[in-house]
Amino acid sequence: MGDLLDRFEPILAAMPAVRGPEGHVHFKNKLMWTLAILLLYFSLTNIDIFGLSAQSQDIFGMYRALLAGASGSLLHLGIGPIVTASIVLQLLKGAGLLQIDTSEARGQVMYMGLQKMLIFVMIIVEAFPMVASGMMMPDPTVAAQFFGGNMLTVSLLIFLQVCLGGLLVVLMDEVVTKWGVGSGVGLFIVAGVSQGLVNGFLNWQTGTDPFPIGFFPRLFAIGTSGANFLEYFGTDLLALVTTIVIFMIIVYVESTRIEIPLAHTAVRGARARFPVKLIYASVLPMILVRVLQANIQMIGMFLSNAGITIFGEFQGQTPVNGLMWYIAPINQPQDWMWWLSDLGHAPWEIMLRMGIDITVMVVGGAIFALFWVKTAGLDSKDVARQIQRSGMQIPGYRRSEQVLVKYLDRYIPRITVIGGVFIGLLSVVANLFGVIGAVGGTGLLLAVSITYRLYEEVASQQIMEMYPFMRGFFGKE
Amino acid sequence: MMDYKETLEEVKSFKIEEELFKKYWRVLKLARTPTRDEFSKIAIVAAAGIMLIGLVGFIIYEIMLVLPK
Repeated sequence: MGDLLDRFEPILAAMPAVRGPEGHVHFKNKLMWTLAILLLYFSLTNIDIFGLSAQSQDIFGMYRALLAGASGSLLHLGIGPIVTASIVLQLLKGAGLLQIDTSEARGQVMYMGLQKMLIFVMIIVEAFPMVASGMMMPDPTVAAQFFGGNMLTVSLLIFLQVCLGGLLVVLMDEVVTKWGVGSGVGLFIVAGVSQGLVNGFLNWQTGTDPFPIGFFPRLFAIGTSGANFLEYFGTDLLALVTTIVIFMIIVYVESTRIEIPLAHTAVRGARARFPVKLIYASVLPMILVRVLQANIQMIGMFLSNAGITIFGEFQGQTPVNGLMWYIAPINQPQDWMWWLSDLGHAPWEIMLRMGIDITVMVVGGAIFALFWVKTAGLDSKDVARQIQRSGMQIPGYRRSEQVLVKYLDRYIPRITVIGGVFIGLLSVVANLFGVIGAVGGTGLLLAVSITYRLYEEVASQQIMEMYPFMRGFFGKE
Repeated sequence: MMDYKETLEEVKSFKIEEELFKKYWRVLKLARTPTRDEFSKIAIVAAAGIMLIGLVGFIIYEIMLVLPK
């Protein structure tokens, strides 16, 4: 693998990228950049693809909250390509197949170049089947009007627009990551979920039944019309309670720290604690596991549409039987509440499916968290270097980095696993109960956690701004 | 790479060995949970953040899609 990469190096280095800032970007500019990209993102999600017929299906469907973007819009792919590419890279690097040493600059350029190339490949790999399989149908009237009825050119046009949207997301993500606050991927997920949430509270348009979809307009309409409160408003109340409970759990868990005992070199015997977040690898690894599940379901769907149903048949986008049904994640209450509607499966089968989902999320969550820690520079070596610089020491040990790494290895990997397992479990439980705005429990969990980390980074950047000497201390630019 | 392989084994054997569970429990005991006001402050900030971003998105959605109709 190594020499192959060396030959590709000139191409990898030449990948189009957003130029990084030279000096320190002032905090206000960072906020401006982030806000600008947020507004651009929201407007792009409202620009529909030209020539797309209304009957097209959104194959991301239930996973839309995770993949951001908006169905039928320019950003139809959302962050799908970026996340899928990082899944592939994480697996390769974690399994040791990819020997790129990202500590020195040359390796980083190669890694970034490889990631970018993989994203472009993923854009095409995801866009082409959607158009070719007829999921995204060309609109006959547009074809007749502009292209003399030639549907093929309209499909090609749709394909190009979807790829353009994918490219825009990549560049916007890079602008936020380099010039703004937090990561673009995180920002787009929060944007999509919070918009869905607010929509779930305020939307006055009526949906399937005669009352508005939004929580408050619906409450008002049902209240004035005197209809049976529980019958129309029951699920909404459950959704509100679930939303609040998930929100509280995440805030609680995100602000919990594990304090690794350390002593300070200068002050003999001073007991110091090195706090490390319990959710050490953040919720992002969990996205990778969910998107992996989504990709498997999509492959199953294409196979089933193409007539190969050994893995399981699909109706529309939901698996009906076979292996695909069992490994499909539970996305909403209707997926498992067999007493609500006949799901065509016995309760024990539904229990088994839930068990598989939990196992995949717990084991997958832990493993991807461990991979994430290794590639994101959060492992024991990096923490040891950080502790070394802050002058702390382990009680009773010589002051050398090797010993510190060995000591931390008793804590960091376990904390990572505990955090990954907990978030995986919470993601499954969150999906069992509906959430306001149908953004899915996992979507809400992601939005709250990413918003909290965004707030943390904004707060720390503000401190950096006020006390420039602090920047040197923490070594952050 | 060594330390990482050993931890992966730990993850695989996690469910079987009781002793291992104790090691994870010992780490968990070191957890410091947020105090009441720390928790409420963060909850308010996170809720405000989501509602604000969501409102911006909702308004843009209304302007660009619903109103022209």
